[in-house]
Amino acid sequence: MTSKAVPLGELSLALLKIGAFAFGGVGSTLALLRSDLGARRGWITDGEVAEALAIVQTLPGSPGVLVVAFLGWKLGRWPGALIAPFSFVTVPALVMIAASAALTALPDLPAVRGAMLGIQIAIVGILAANMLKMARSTAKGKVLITVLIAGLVLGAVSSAAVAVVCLGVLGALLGLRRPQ
Amino acid sequence: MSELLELALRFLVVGALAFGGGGAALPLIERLSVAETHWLTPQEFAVGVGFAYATPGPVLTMAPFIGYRVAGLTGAIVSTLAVFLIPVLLAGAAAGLIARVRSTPWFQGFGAYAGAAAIGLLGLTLYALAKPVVEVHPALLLGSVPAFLLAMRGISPLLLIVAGIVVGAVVGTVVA
Repeated sequence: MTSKAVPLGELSLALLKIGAFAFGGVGSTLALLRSDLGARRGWITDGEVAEALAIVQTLPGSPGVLVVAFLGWKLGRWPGALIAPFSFVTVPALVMIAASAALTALPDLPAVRGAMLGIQIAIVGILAANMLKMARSTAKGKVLITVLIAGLVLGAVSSAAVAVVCLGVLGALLGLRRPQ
Repeated sequence: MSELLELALRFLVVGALAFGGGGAALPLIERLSVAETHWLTPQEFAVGVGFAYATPGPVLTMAPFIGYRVAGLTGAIVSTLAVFLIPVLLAGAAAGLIARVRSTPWFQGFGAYAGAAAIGLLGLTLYALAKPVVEVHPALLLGSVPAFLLAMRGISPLLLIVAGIVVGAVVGTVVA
């Protein structure tokens, strides 16, 4: 286990830069972590990145952020675990804030309305594909498919949080393992 | 309840229940910030998701997007801190001593069922997002079919979103 103490200011700057270029999900985040924190600065090894990814699989949250927090802990204990991920998401968050502001400022032109509709149509297709892919890979078997349907029904009649928590607690009580 | 407090609580819940990653948490975000609070319209949410895919970083940056809309910069900061706090605390704890918790059957069982439930919730989100499209014109939803098929084949969501923007803008101008 790595026990080097990396200066927090340097850690923050490094993750700030990595976050600005982390396009395309956890895969590119990991590649950037390996090449920058690993190859360039020698703070972590490829093995540690792989280990982090494997360990955070069962945790809630974005895998990229979880890996960064995990490695941040290794490099700077709890200060590192907090500073690294929040530095990582700073530029992405600023971009999304700008997007949010831009959304309200968009002119009401036919092209813009058409573009917005086009995005919605694309997103419906993308999310439908997501749902199918996730159902196939993580909701395998009759039991989890039943839980999936129960989630939909519970969410429709009560609240989403209630649905997820109740079914999660049920799973905890039954003590099932996450399917691989 | 103060808006900031509500933002914080709702996004704390999102982060804590985001089993399966940000993508899997999208329905939870839609339920908590669109369906239940009307902070955004379904259309605005869909556009936000498009931006979230196009920009760097995790999809959970939907939090600052929504937080900014609700309460400006302060709202964005509060929602961002809230959504990532619990995952970060758990990851830090996992790196430290509390490794045993995440390998217990009950923790894994919770994650497995919570994850499956979240996928089910995506059905509700899909309905909520498709409904405004259908209200403009039912035939428009057919456009989602090629998007669905291409996404299934592994075409990048970003490409599909850009295609949607371009086609939408052109058709919108021509039809007007």
